[in-house]
Amino acid sequence: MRKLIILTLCLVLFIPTVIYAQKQQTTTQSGKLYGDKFIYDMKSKLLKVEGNVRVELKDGPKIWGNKLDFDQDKQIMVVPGAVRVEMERLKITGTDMEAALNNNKIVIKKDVKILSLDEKGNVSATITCSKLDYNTNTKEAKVEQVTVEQEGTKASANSGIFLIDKEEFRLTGNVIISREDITLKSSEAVLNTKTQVLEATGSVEAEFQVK
Amino acid sequence: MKYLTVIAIILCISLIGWWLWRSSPEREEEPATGPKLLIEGGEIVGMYEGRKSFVLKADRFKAETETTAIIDGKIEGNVFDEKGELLVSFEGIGGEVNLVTSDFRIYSKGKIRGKDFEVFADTLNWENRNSIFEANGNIEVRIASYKVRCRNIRADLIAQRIELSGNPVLEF
Repeated sequence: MRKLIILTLCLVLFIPTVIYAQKQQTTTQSGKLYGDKFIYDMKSKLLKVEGNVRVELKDGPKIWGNKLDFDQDKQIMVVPGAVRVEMERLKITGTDMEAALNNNKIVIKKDVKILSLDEKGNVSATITCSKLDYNTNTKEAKVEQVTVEQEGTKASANSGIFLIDKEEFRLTGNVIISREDITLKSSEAVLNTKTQVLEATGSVEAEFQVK
Repeated sequence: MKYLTVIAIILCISLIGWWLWRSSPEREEEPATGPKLLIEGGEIVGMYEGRKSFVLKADRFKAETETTAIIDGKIEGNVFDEKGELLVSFEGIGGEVNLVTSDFRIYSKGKIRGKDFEVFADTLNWENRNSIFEANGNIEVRIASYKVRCRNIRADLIAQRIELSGNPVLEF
């Protein structure tokens, strides 16, 4: 009898946890989509949006483009060509974007340029990279072949992670940082775009230019 | 003389054959081309190419002109495809049916529902020949699980394509 009560209690506690976990997994991003013209293909269930495309994700970034394809079944939005994304204190431009609403992912595939703005709206750092993979949930952006420029400091690396909330850039692989007469080479570095504090870790090599 | 008899027999056989063909039931049921309207038992049945294209039920019918039938009150009906299967169902308040083309128009509170979509609009126009409908005004479209608001809609049900314009906004 006691075993049965324990088992029932376990089930009562366990079932809501499983239901909650499943709900969390299937959560999709909500928002609004604007454009000049929508064309919906009933066979393929594909929605094409033409002209002045704007996507406003709830509690997330705003996206602008000229065209957009929305696959309802896969919950994927594709913006071919030039794209602009704005969020908090970041302005991002690039080419060819894909947003997976189910996975809270925004990927800009080419020619990415990120402008980090200060509290007054002035550009505090300019980041260029070949590809950007942003998670709207964790607010982390993975970048490839990245260059960061900020008031006399220039840093480049094979890849990096931009923690948008912390305004912190974690660079990895072949990191080269140049500031005035000093060049640092390391395997990893952390750059805070707000405080402008730079920390190089791993095997650090420093080159000084003596005048 | 012999030839004349043969020709006369051939002509007689041809005449009998033609007469039999004309009076056969198949001949009577030969599909009529173009649009045609039948008003029977409180319903307007729109025919196209010999098939039932739509059935429109209304509170009151009153034929105003030779080309247009005006409908008062509530309208509801169904549109069928070439196989006779339900394509869309519609309803609204007040409207008119073109007696020449079989196109119809709903004046207000138009609603049209098809597979995977539902449209609520102020005015609704159905183009019978091409299975196209257009609507204007404050439009709300429900496509699958999504809701779109816009000012104009044009849906081609043969091409399976819905076009929305006039500041369309999709909520997802």
